[in-house]
Amino acid sequence: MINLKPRALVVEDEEHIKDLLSYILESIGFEITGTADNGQTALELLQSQKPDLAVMDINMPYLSGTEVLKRCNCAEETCIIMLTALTDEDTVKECLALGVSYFIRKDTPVPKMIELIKKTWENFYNQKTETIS
Amino acid sequence: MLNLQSEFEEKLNTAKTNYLKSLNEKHTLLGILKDLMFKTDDLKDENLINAFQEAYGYIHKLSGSSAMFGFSELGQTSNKLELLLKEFIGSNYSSDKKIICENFEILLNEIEKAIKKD
Repeated sequence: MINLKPRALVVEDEEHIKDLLSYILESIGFEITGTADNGQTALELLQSQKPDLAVMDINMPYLSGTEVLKRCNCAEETCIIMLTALTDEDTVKECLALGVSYFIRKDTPVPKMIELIKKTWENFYNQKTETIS
Repeated sequence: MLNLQSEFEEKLNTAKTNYLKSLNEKHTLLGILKDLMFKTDDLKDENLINAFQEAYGYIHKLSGSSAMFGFSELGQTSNKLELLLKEFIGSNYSSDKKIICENFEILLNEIEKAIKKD
């Protein structure tokens, strides 16, 4: 049997948020193929697993989310959603330049967060499909 | 479909319950760190420096997670203290410590409120 579920990676150093994000992604049809609690592990998993989607915190130990993005150069094949408590304009601009698909603030209510992740994934998937065809 | 929905809601409730338990633990830990941080001004005391670093780490996590679990006031309070601590550590522990102490107290009260509320 072929597994057609899109694969997701969750990168977050707070265990409770990591669990919550995993539940959210599973509830909308993703398979969680990996989780990481620091930027270094995230980078390794992004490169080895090439997930369809990654939800990633910005402020993390060892390597920040932005540093991970710079090193993996993977925003074309993976839909990257940054999760942040920060609203620092420079960081947002830097991440967008690195190909991030969307930003979600951590204080976004869960139903809204689900809606935003779904919409971002659909847009990314449709664009990718158009590019291929 | 209904089953999936209720399973998801159950998982969300469990996640929130676990989070509240962790708030209890954080409250105790931050109380201990507060005592360490404000009992001395001796910057040669390694315990003092470690306490500030450790408190910063906990408060950083609290700042993001509390907002995500719907405790918006706790999120704002911890975010404010996170920034104050960042500035204080960045100044090599030389800026005003009193304001940090006051905001630490506010944070501990806010954690208690969040625990009691739910």
